[in-house]
Amino acid sequence: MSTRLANTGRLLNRGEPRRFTFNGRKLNGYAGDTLASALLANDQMLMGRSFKYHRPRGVVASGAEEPNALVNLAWGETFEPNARVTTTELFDGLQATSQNHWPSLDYDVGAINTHLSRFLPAGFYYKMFIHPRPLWKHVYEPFIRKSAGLGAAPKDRNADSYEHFHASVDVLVVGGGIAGLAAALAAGRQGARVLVWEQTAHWGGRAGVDQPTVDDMPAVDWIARTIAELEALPNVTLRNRCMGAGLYDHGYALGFERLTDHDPKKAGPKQRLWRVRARRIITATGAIERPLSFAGNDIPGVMLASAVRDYVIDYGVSSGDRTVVVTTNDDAYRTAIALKEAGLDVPCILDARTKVSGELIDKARNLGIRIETGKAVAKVKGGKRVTGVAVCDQAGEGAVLEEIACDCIAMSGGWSPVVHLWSHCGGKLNWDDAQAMFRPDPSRPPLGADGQGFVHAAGTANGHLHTAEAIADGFAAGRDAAKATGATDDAGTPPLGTDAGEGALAQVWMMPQGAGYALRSKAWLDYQNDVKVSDVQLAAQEGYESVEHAKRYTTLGMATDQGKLSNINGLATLSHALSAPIPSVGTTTFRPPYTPISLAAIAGPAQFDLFQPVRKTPISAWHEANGAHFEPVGQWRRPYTFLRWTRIHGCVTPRRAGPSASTGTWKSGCRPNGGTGRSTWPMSPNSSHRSRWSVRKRVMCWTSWAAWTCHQRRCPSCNGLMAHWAALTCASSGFPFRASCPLKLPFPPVKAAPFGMRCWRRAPGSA
Amino acid sequence: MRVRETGLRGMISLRGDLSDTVLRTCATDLTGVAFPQAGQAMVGADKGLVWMSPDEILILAPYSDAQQTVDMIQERLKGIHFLATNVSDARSVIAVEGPFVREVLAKLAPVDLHPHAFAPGSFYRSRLGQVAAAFWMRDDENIEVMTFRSTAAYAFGLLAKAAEGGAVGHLVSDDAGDARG
Amino acid sequence: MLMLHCPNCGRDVDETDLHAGGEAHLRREGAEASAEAFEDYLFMRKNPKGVHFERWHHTFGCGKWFHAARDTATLEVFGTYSAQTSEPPKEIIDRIAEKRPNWSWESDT
Repeated sequence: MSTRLANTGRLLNRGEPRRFTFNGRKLNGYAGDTLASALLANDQMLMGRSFKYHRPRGVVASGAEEPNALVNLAWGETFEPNARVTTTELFDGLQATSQNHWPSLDYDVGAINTHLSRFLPAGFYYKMFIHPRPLWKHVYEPFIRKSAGLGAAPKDRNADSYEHFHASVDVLVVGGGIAGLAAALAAGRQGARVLVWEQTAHWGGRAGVDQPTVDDMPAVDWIARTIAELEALPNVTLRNRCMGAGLYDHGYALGFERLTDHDPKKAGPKQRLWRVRARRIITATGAIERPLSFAGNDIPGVMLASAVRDYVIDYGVSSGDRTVVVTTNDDAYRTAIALKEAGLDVPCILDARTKVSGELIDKARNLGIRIETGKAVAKVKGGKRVTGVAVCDQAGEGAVLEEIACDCIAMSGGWSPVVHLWSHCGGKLNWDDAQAMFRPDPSRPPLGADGQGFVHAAGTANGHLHTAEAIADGFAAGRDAAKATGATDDAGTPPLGTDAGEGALAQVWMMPQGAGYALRSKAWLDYQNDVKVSDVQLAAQEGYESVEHAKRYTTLGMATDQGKLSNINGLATLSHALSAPIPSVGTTTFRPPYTPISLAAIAGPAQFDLFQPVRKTPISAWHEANGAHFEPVGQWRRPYTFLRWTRIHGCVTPRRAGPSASTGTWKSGCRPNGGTGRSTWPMSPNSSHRSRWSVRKRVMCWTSWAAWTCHQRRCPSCNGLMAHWAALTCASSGFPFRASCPLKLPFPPVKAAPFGMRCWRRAPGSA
Repeated sequence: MRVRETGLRGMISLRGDLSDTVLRTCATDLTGVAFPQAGQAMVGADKGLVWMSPDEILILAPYSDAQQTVDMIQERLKGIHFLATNVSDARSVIAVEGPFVREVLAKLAPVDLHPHAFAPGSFYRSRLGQVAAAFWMRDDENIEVMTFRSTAAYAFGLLAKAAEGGAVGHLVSDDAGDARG
Repeated sequence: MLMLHCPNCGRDVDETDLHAGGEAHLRREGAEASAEAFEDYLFMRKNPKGVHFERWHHTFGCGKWFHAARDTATLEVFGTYSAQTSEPPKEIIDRIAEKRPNWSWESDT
């Protein structure tokens, strides 16, 4: 059971309830909730189905790295697919539906794939669909197209408005955690023009959860004080709900700001794309916790240790009554301590390291938590929800020592700095073996127009995982960046952070170490694309030794989360399979955007009538008033014909039918009645004798003529579609279509012809 | 915020050697404003000089005086190499007025509109969305945008939409005349 | 996206305001030139990885051409200068030589 706790939840406003629905079920949450925390509070751990095997999946993370819990969002007339529940703020009237299942989330026919997984190995598509060749077009491709994609595409036009904003600043700080704030403080105090982006709605990042001490005060107080100081500085702009999407050449950066996504009733644009030119950029983007690879690590209820902690402290949500913590480092002990302090049960901490000691471990032990060292998870029990965990030795092959009943597993394989933005524009990385992570190499930064590095990584994003170093690093980066732009004022004293000391972590890429195929084929690396440890090993075995090749062959890290959780685990698995050190295997390329941004935001104001400039001549208004039908000529519109008697629908505009622009006369042989003699075009405006039939006749006549021209010229605008329409309408009205066609066009029989271009192309004589 | 078409405006494109004293005095005499530096627009109530490029200035005058002004230039600059053209009907001027004019323009043009870079008297030639535009600041709450007449409707639509979107809060002037960010 | 300094109007200009005009300092072949020389002039371009001289047109701005010396791999800009010249000014050549010791204008041409 996941449920709401009474006493915690620092981001919640319990005075403001929020109502929403999930798959039609009416649920309640509070202001400050994310959709993820609200669903957990309503015991909805199962949130989606995986892409390939349709396995039941729950939420794993609490931030932008979430791979599993993607939903369709709807409210009013708006529909948005693939929304991450962890970054969707809850509002009244939100309607969420889960994706990728049929007929329902709980009972999904596609789940059969999980039993066929033995026959759906890495590279399945390449192996399976290559022979026999003729089957590709009519069997394989339609089938693959049908199963591709996650959410449903919106049906209606996007009625919201979007905008761009260009800004030039001295220092752009991406990330509003304590390192980013310290950097902004240093740069702002020196007088540089500073812009700070934070992707969530809250400042301070993880410091609000982990509560280290900064300048002898609790971190939350320091954050509040710093925000107040930064807001008072006229040269600093703070933006939350604004994600640094990408860094590009010459200090160009894109920011994706969500303006009304959290409150659709608010007026104004929905999203804003910041297009910034910064002289120096500080990436204080934090770090992401890594999952551990053990059998059944994708069962709903297995979560990142940091996420379990976030849900308890930030949102007052327990992810389970009994949580087993599985770890390779000290940080996950914070989760055990937080759970225990919230009154929840932690039956055991399974630590893969054989020797542990330190402040956090002592604290956990004093709280009465059982700590098992050198132990690992052999297997997670449960289907749509964790029911227990089988414990084994990390050093062994997975012989079960005991089974512990639990409904949540908090795992931690260490932390990976978010180096995406650093890498977008060419920043290079070093492998830090002690902390088991890639971190930015300060000697090989992205280079700007002057040949100097223009990006400074700071804080945990720079590999400084502990408060004291992270905050000092952030401050120093801000000071140096501002100095490089010519700011001269005093940066003041750097903030001092203190935190519980932590011991070394163990590098664990498979749990247990000697797991056999049965376990490896149930240990997930990439949750969203269903890539398992065994798949990566198979890829290596089949010769896909380059990390970029293995990525594409297995689809590891190619889902919408772009492998935020899976990349390091995947390439460590690959490096083991190849018996090569991790740094020589390298990483795949990080490409913008950091998380998906909407196409509408990229289009900005270029919607509807502003999609493209339409250039107008001075006489344009007169043309319009006189019923001109325009033809596009580049960005200009030239009056093509002045309609008097009917309207033209659809794509047909008969070429050369209008009066020629220069003389105003009709060109011979181009009369709309097909050249049958009596001129009926243009009709005199006062001809009141037209019966309905005569109008219809004229329309028929005109369409058959149009179809003929259409066919004659292979009309590029409708591609022959018009001819079909004419054939159909003529046939249905009994009008002798063929008789009126001077060429006796070889149209396919109307009944047998499906309405479409493909059919027309296959019509005899037109090939 | 208000976005409006200013109505007909006399505009004369004067090309020549901008360092030539005869040309400079001619331009300043006709308009009564100082000769602009590169990237400047000297715009008075109804007359002004705008620096368009290293060999071109734009003379602003009342619409009815435009042709007369061209004739006067032809008269005064006899003997030197120059080109004066009445372009009044080729271009339109749109005025954007209100507290966050800088931000309205910054939503559309890839230039720095911070007061340090763009102040009253500054002049930019850049683009608005997909069309070329030039703009200058009359005062802190008034920017005039000049586009080709054929694209004015598009530019007006963009500016109106940008203004409708509201302030961003990055370049809004405060009482001290300084701006955030 | 590049940011180049337009020497004609004295501003740093966004790439979207500019139009790239290809390789700079091409020498037009005259009427007496051989077919091969004319082909070279018309079609053959250096496309180097490294130092490159190129023409840019400030389309949305002052409407003038200028030249830029740029590293095509690192996108470092060594300088921009007037297009009214048949070879780069000395200070640009010196600056490039200082930063790229293996490069020289003579070997480049």
